[in-house]
Amino acid sequence: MVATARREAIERATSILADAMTRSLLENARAHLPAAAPAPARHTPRARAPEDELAHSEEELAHYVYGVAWTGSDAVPDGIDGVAEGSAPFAVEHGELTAIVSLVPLREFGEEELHENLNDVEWLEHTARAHEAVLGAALAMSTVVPLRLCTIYRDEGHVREMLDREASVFEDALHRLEGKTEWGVKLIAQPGALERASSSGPESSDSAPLSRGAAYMESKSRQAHAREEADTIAEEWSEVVHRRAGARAAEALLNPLQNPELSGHTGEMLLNGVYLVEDAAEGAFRDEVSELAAEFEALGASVELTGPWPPYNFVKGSIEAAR
Amino acid sequence: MATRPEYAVSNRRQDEPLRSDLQRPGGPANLADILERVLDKGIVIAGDIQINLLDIELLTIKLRLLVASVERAQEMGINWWESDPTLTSNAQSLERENRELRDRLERLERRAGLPTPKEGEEVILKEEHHEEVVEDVDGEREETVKESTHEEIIEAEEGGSGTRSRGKKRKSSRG
Repeated sequence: MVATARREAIERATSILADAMTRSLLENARAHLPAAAPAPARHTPRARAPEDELAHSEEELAHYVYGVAWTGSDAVPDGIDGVAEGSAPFAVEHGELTAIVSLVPLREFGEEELHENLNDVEWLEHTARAHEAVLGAALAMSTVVPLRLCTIYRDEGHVREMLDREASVFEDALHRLEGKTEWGVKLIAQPGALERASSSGPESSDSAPLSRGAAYMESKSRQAHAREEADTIAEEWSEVVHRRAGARAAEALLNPLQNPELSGHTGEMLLNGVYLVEDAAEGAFRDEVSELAAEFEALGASVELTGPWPPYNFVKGSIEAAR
Repeated sequence: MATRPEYAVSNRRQDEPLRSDLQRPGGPANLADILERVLDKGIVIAGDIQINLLDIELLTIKLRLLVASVERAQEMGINWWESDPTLTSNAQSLERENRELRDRLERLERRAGLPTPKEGEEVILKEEHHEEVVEDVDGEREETVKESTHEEIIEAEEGGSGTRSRGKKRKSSRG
C-alpha cells in the first residue's frame, strides 16, 4: 500500500517537474527566437521584455485590458506606454481572441485607489489619453473592440477566463466592425451666426409710430420670435449635417452636445454626431464632410471632423449581451 | 511586426494625415471627445477590480473638469452645484429652514384668510379697486366704487391650465 502510494506520488511529482521543465525550456527558447518568427506564444516576447520596468519591480501588479482583437491581427502597438508608467502593452492570446493588456500597479489601480484617482482630473486625463492612445494605435493595425476605461484583472488567467466567457460578444462585435471605423462630426455655430441667419428673413416693417409701451412689447415679442427662429435654424442645420454625413456611413448616432468649458469650443455646439464608416467609403465620407464644412463656413458655422476612433460608440449592443 | 512604424500618442492615422481644414490644427484629441468615449462608451465587462464608473462622483469630475477649483468657479460665477442639494454640506439645514418657512407661510395665509395652494400649485391674486366720481350738471355727485378680487390657482404640474377662479364684484354707489 505504502509502496503504491509512494510510486504514485513520485510519478505525479515527476510529471509536474517535467511540465515545469518543458515550460521553462519553451520560455527560454522563445526568448531566443527572432522577433519575426511566428510565436505560438501565450503572450508576445515583449510582454516581459527586460525594459518592462514594472514587471521587474516588487510591485503588486494587475492586468489592465484595453480592448480585444482577432489573434494574429497584430493589434498590439509598439513603442508606446500603457496607462501605467514603464509598462508597454502586450498581447494575451487565447484561441481566436487576443486581449491588448498592460501591467498596472495595484498601489495605483486597486479598488480604493481607483475610486480616489478617478476623481483626480489630472490622473483621469492621463489615464484616459493613454487608454485611447493604445487603442488608437491598435486601430491602425486591425479591427479592435474597445473596453471601457479601467477594466482590470488580477492575473493573466483571469484575462483568459474573461475572453472565454465573453467570446461570443467579442466575436460578434469584431465581425460587425470589420473594415469599419468610427468618425466624429460636430457642428458649431459661431456666436451670432444663428441670429444672423434668422434675421435675414423678411422683417415686418409697417412701422407706424408706436408708443413707448407698445414699442417695448413689440421688441419683446420680436426677441422671442427671433429666439424661436434661431432654434428652428439650429435644428435644421444639425439635421442637414447628420443626414448627409449619415448617408455615407453604415451607422450613425447622436451624442449629447458637449460642454464648452470642457471641450473648449467657442460658439454653440449644434451637433455631436458619430459615424461608423466603411473603410472603402472613407473618401466619400470625408468629401461630404469637406463640402458641408465649406457650405457652413459661409453661414458662420464650423464642421469639425475627428477620428479615426476605435468604435467606442458602436459596441453598445454588445454591452447588453455582456451583462 | 518588426518593421512597424512608430505611432505617436494620438488617435490619428499617421500614414494618412487628415486635411487641416477639417481638423483642429495638430494637437492631441479633445479631452471631451476622449472622456465621452472611454468613460461612457466601449464594452463594459466586470473586471476583478470592481469599479462602477457610475458610482464615481461624476459631478465632482464634471465640476473639476469645468474649472480647476471651486474658488476659480466662484470667481467665474459658476455655482450650479450650490443649488444641487446632494452637493452641499449644508443642504440639510437649508431643507429644515425651507420647511419652517413653509409652515410659517401657511399659518399666515390661514390667519389672513388667503387661499392656500397645495403642493405644486401657485396662487395668483389680483385685486382691483376702481373709483369713479361723476359730477352731474346739477351738482349732484355720484361715486362708483368697483372692487374685484381674482384668484387663480395654477397647478404647476399640469402646465398651468387647471385654474380655479372666483371673482367678487361689489358695486356701490353713493349719491
